[in-house]
Amino acid sequence: MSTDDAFDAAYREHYWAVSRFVARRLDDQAWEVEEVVAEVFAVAWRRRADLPESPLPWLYGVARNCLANTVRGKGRYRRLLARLGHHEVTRGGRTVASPDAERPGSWVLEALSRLTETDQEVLRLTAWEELTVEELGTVLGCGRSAAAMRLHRARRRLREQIETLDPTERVPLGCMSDKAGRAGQADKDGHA
Amino acid sequence: MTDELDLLRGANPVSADTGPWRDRPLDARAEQLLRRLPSRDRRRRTVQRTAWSVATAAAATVVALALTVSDSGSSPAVAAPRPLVAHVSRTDVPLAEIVRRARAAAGGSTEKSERGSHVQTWALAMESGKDAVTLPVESLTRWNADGSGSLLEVATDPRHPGRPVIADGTPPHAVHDGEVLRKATYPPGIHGANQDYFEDPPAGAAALREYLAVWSPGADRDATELISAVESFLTVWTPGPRQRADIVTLLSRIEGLRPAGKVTDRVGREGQAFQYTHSGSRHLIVLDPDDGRVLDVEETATRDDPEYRVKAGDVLSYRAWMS
Repeated sequence: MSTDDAFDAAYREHYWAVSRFVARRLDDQAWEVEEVVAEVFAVAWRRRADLPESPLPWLYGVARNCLANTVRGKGRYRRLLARLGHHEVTRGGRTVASPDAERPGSWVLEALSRLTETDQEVLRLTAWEELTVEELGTVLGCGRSAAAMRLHRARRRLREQIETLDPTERVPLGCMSDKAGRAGQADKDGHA
Repeated sequence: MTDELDLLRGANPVSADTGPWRDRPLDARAEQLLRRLPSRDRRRRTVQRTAWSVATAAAATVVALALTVSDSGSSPAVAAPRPLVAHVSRTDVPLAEIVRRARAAAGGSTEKSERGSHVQTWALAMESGKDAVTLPVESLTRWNADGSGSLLEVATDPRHPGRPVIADGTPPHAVHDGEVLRKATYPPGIHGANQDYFEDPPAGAAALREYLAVWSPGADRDATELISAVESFLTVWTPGPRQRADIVTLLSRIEGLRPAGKVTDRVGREGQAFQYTHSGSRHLIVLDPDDGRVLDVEETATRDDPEYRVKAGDVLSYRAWMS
């Protein structure tokens, strides 16, 4: 298979996954998502000689950089962070009071938003993009053990935040494995 | 019973099963994008390069103004800046020694970092097929913890390159023949002058790097991104001794940062220069050898780019911090 063919195959297979990756980080603003996804694949096309055998984590890595570049120069990165919750929360701009909040899982997102951007991204990649620890390392540009350590710490901090938000919620210690992101089924109610 | 990852999965805001981004065969738009990629690639490259000089910094507005000043026609002819020249000498101060001095200076100091900066900035406007040499711009920003503050931007006098055109008084004002480009006072909130790096920077080199990476993703793993982040940060904050030590410590950890020698910068200050070459450009970082203060960062091309009339050795951008 030629490089161009491999790129075409990766594009067809992962276009929607990359779109979801971007949408999750842009609060699902359709036109912005399409704009960034187009940029992701334009960059990936230029770098298609580097396309690995398992291209999805690599594409996520490209998407991370594109998201940052897209929003940084235009002063949108702060707004992106605000949408993701970090800054609004730290300044008391948003409150999601309890597990009774309207949007399912919103208090979990609130707990997530209280973490550092680095921790949040590790957790999003694991829970939403369903990456293995190995793949996590590919996206974050670090080794497997470093990725595992980052995930371990991020999970612990998320657990602490969840318990802070809802003291009745006692989250059991999660087992971390290579397939941490793929184990288990989502709990639609957001908590047990 | 669920663990925290299960809870997070349940809060996934974008599903693979429903909604506009669900898994399915490519739609017409996605198909069209795929077909157009090679030609799109060439077009986008031009756009990206055009935006490059603008987008690299938190003070993008300052640079953007610089791009337009050259069209005003009211100023004398402007020449592209010559690259700084470094001379190796026996009195060169090694980077490790500068770090040591910076740490020593930070040790007994209680001086804090200040919000705002005073900097001269220049960047080549990389528009295809155009000679886009512009006037350097000097800017002085001050802001408070609530985000309120002021900004003064003045075009430098091309007849006296490097001569400061802003007097840092109360209020700051333009001096000599500087043409005021913008004067603004900001109410509390987040504005152009402090859009990035709003929160107080943390103490410690590792924490500072993580902080920089929040606004400049990649600064925690990529040398070029780190240098760019430091530049951006220094347009928002004027670091105190501790932060200066942290910054120079971060820079000293850049693999491939080589000593270049002594430099007299465009403002007439002598500093110790270090260079980092990567992907067609060279960053020259000029430090005050006594306390590790970053005096200048200059980027030059290391290979020709005919499309933008750039030759190897041309200055692509520089910043000189005045305070």
